[in-house]
Amino acid sequence: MTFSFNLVLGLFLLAPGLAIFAGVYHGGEQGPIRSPPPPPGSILALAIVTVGALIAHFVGAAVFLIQDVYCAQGGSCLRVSYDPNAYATLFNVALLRQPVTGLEAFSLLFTIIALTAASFFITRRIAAAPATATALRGVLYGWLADVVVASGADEAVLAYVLSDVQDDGTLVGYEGVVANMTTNADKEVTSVLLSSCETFYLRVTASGVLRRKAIRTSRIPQLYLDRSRIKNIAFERVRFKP
Amino acid sequence: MKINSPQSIAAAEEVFRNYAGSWTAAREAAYRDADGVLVIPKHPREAPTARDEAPLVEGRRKIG
Repeated sequence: MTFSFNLVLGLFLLAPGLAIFAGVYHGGEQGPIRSPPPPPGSILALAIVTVGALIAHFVGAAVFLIQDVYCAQGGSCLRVSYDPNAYATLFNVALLRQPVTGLEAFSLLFTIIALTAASFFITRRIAAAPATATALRGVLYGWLADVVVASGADEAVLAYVLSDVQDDGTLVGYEGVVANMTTNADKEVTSVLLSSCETFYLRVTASGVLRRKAIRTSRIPQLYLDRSRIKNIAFERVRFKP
Repeated sequence: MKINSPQSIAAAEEVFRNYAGSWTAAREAAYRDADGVLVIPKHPREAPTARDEAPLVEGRRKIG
């Protein structure tokens, strides 16, 4: 696998956009709910990365433009032996194939790194602001934004997981405390870990749904169920009173 | 993701133990709060004893 100069250059130019993408998800994640970001090939990810990179470079170019105007109008500027405008250097290298000095290359990379770092921290700050976080919840979490969360030590969220179907049509279910849960980028539940778990059976009849407790001699301290064994899942918040 | 804090899980495990490892039994003792949340007493109500069920006689229970 060989990396062409254009590919490396493209990645460098997209770095601020990727930083903005990371900042949106890192800053928007609040509370215990975690969800993986959308895959890089998704429209949402591409939009955030490309538009974010465009805005970051626009701001970067604007800074150099302001500097040029300020210096051209007689402002106190430090004279250097190279062109400090990283974008001018970039176009010279990429389009005109002109040689660049070490200082120009350093200036270009420093500008991209500084722009990438600033993009990440500023975006994370904005995404973490309460008003923005509320607006982003639906985008970041999808249906998970509405999942109940235990709000205190005297509350817990129980899950009822319907799993395997037996030969006679009876469903095996598990009820327990949600110890952990993972989802994929499409917000599908990929695994759930239940603690203090009880098994039950569910049978759909003409007269209704019958729930029957499984006869067990011991409880299940912890039960891990992966996606293939989760047919349906329901959550319920319960409160404990002395 | 952890939608239950460690304290919540510990409290739930304690309640689960108190009901002899049965959420079904816990739910039978539970009731709905005004906001619709299922409220489970931490300790199951003990079965009434003969002393509890004996008729009151002059403010005291007649036993035996």
